Amino acid sequence: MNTQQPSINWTAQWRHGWDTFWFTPTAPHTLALIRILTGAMLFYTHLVWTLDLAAFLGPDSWISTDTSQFLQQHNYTWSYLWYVDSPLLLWTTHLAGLVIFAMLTLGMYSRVVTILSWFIAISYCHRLEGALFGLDQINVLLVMYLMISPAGRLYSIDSWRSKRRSASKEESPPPSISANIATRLIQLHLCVIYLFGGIGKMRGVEWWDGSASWFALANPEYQSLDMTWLASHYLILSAMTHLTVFWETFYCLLIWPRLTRPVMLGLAVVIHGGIALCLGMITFGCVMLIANLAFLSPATTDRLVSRLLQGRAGDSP
Amino acid sequence: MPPPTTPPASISSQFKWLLSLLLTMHLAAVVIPPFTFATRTGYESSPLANVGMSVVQPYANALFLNHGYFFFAPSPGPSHLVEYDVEFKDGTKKTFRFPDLQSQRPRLFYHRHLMLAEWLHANYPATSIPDWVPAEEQRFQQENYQRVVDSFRQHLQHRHGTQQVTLRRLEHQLIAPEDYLKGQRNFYAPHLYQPLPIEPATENRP
Repeated sequence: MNTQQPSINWTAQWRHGWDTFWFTPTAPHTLALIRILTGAMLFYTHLVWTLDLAAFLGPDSWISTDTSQFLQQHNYTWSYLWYVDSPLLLWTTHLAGLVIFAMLTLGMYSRVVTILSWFIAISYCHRLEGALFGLDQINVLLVMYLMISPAGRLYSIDSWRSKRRSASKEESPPPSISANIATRLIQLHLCVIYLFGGIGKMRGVEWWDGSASWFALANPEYQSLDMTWLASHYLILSAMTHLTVFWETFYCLLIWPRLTRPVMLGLAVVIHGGIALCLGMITFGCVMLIANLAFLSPATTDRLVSRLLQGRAGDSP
Repeated sequence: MPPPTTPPASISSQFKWLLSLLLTMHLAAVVIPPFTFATRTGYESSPLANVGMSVVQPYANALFLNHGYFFFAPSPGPSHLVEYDVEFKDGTKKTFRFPDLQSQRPRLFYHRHLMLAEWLHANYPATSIPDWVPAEEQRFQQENYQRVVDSFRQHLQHRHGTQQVTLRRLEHQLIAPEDYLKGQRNFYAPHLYQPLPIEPATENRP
C-alpha cells in the first residue's frame, strides 16, 4: 500500500492565492459607482466649508495658519492652503476645488481629476486639523484608491465621449488589474477600520454592560432622532450594543465568504443607517456605506445600475 | 453584463514582485497607526507598535492614514463644548456657546464646530504626567494646547470685534438610563453642564 502523502507546495499555493487576490483583472463597474458617490460626498463636504470659509480657512480662522503649521511641524504633512492668505485667492481656490469635485462626480477627465481631488481633499485635511472626523478619513481613503483605478471609464462623461468619438459598440471597458487592486485596497482598509473600531469598543465597560447604545443615543450633541423611549426596552439597547461590537470586530472575517457577506452588508446598512438617522451624522453614515459598496461584484453593480436606469426610463412618459 | 472575474493576467513576474512589495508596505502603514493607538495605555503604546510607527509615520501622516478608528470608543462619554463671554465696546456682555444646533446648520456645519470643541478638550494637557515623560515632550503638549486656545480666542475676538473674550470649557454630562426612567428627562438641565478649566493645571509641570 502506498502510504506516501501527496506533497503540498505551500509556497506555490500561497503565491497563487496572493496572485489571484491581487492580480485578477476586474471590471470597473463598482468603482465607477463609488467614484460618483465619493465625488458627490467630497463636493458636499467642501461645499459646507463655504458657509463660513473665512472662519475655517481665513487669516483669523479658528485654527490660524500659523497654529496649523505649528501643530503639523513634525508630521511630514503639507497643505497649499497654508499659503493662501488673500480672501480672493482663498475663494478662487475653494471654488476651483468644488469644480474639480463636481467633475469627479460626472467623470470628466477622470484620471487627472481624481488625482487633483485627492490632492485637494488631503490639503483641506492637513489644514483643518481639529474640525475633522471619520467622514474626512473615509473621503480621503476612497479618493486615494480611486486614483489608481479606471473608475472614470464607466458611468461618466469620459465614457460617453469616448463612445461617440470611436462609435465603439463595446458596452463595457475590459477588466483590469488596477481596478482589482483599488477594490482590494478599499476592502482591506475597511476591514482594518472595523477591526480597530471593534477592538476600541472592547476596551470600554459600556460596550460590555450593554449601555453604550443608550449613551450614544441619549447624547444631546449627537441626537438627531429621539430614541430615548428605548430606555424602557433595555434588552433592545443591550442587543444593539453587543451586535455593534461583534459586527465591527468580525467584519474582517465574515465579509469574505459568500454565505455571510450579505448578512454583514445588511448589518452595515442597519448600523450606518442608524448612525445617519439617529446620531446626526448623515454624511458619515453615507460615506461608510459608499465604502461598503466595494464588496459588491461588478456584475451586481451593473445589474443594479441598469435596473435603476431602466426604471427611470420607464418612468418617463 | 461584465464577467465577475477572469483568470490572473500575465504581467511580468518582476512587476508583480514590485507591486506586491508596494502593497505590503502600504498595508503596513494602514494597520500600524490604529494598532499603535489601540495598544496605548496612558502615555505609551506597545514597544512593537512604537517601532512600527517610527517606520511608517512619515508616510501615514502624509497620506492622512494616521488614525485610531475608535468611533464612540472606548466609551461613548459626555460631550465637550466651549462657552465664552464677550464684552462689547459699548460695555454690554453676552455669553455664547458652541457648537450651537440652532444657529449652525446644516448638520455637518454644526458637527465641524462640535469637533473643534471636542478637539480642544482632547488636547487639554493631562494634570498627572509620569516622571519618565521627558520635560520637552510635556512642554510641547502644553504649547500645542495653548496655541489652540490662543487661536480660538483670536478668532472670536476678530468675529465679535473686541479684545474682551473669555473662554471656558464645558462638559455636558449624560443621563444614565436608570435616572431617565426615574424621571430625569431634561437633557439640557443646567446642572448637567460641568465647567472645566481652560488654562492648563500647573501641578506636575516642568
